[in-house]
Amino acid sequence: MRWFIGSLIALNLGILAWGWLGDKQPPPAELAAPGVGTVRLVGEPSADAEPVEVPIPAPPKAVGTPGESGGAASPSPTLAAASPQARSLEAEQAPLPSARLPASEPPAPAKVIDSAPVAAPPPGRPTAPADGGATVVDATPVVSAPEPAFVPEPDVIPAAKTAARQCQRIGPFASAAAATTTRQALAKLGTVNSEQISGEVPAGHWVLVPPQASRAAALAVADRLKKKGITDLWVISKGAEKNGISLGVFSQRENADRFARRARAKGFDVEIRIKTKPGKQTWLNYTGKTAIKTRDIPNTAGVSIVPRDCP
Amino acid sequence: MKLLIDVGNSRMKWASLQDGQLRPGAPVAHGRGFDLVALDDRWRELPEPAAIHVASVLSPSRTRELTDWLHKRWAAPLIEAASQARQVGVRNGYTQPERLGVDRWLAMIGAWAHIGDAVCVVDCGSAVTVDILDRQGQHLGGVIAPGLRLMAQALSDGTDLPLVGDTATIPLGRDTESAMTAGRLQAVVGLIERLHRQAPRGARLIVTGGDAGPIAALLGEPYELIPDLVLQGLAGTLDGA
Repeated sequence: MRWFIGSLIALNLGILAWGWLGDKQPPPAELAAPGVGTVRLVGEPSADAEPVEVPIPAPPKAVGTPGESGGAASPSPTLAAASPQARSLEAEQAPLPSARLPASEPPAPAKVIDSAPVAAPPPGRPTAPADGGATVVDATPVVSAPEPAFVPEPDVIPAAKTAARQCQRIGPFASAAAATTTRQALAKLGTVNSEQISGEVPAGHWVLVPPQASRAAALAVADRLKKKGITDLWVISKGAEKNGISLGVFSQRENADRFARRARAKGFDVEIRIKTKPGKQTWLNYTGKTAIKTRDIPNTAGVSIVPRDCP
Repeated sequence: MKLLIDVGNSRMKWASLQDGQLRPGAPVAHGRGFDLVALDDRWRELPEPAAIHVASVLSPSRTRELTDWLHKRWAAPLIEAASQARQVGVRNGYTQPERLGVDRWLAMIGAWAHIGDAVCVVDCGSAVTVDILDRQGQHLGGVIAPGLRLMAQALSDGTDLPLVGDTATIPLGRDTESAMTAGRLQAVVGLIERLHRQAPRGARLIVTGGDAGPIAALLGEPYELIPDLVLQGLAGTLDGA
């Protein structure tokens, strides 16, 4: 038995010595062959390689443990001094206030880490930088290759240079007849089709006193109006103009303007709105090379020019 | 006077344009519908516009809710902006130019008018978009990512984590809520900085949108914050409109 244990010990010592000597052997030199050039083994360190900075995980003291969190903060080498990114930002953009963590926050990121309730790492796992520490340091941009810059896709510029068709809807018009002059004008610029849809159509120009703070306030204004000779009115009880006072609906804008001027001369705050009613709207669907502008439309009152998908 | 309206996914920004002067008003939030009473109140002092120009990212039906009401309020013609293949020096990089979000298109036009050189245009709204123009005004393309609120919503919906609404500029969290706030901020900042690094050399960085403030505050690059960039772009397209 003794000889067996002894031979096991000798065997282990032999393997240990073999491994130790093997590690000490220099790596093979560059392999050169005529006409092939230099071959370098994968993973072999290059003599002229740039030194690579590797973020060093903070020691347990820098990361902090619940027992140490009450102490005075000391700068963490992981987040402050050892941060290549922080150095580069300071060097390149020192005048910028936003290049680093704002002054309103603890100036040393380590302080944040120190006092954060970080759980101790589980046994057997390497100590990692504290919660988010690696992300904040992010040393890779400094040592990595430049990121590829955006360039136009080959097909982008020609596509954009091609004048796209313009597809728009113009309306609503109260009837097909009301759309006629606009349709004729737009036909010189492109193709025009019309369609009818259900919706609100203009029903006149509405003169009203804008909504008051309450119904009582509206009734008080109504009383004042009546005393000044404006008696044909009603207090609006619902809708966006609730607690306003309606003074009349005029088919012609000029008549509405004249009435509004008279009311204003008597000291009342009066507005003109477009009154609508349910009906059939007529819309023109335009397709052409140039986008329609208001100057292309003979009568623009109450008209929308809306983009639409080209068919 | 022209009334310019930029309808985003959650806010409506507007400005009056007269004699080349853009005067932005206070933005109005909108959710499922527009608060027409509040809008009516806000625009009471506004003179009758000669034209209304709308750039909307909402669906046509939701946009119509607003435009129908605008038609009732004013007799002015209403023109909805759309992305073009090329306009005022900017060339659209989309294979289908009209499919590019009109807010992104107008933001690029506004940025190009401002810079006239390679530029990275960032809009920090409900979604975060980044678009890149080269030195010739060619749009190289862009990205669309969830904005701060949507990231918080996704994190809350997909886990047992709470929903955070804080948009404070927090680079690192010291509790769950602040870590979530910092996480979404850093995600957006990282996205912007990476794309900016890949943009043509010397590209400037222009930031806009409702959440631009806390995001820009963490950027490690020089930037310009232009809150009404889309409206500026819309104004830039109106020559002779």
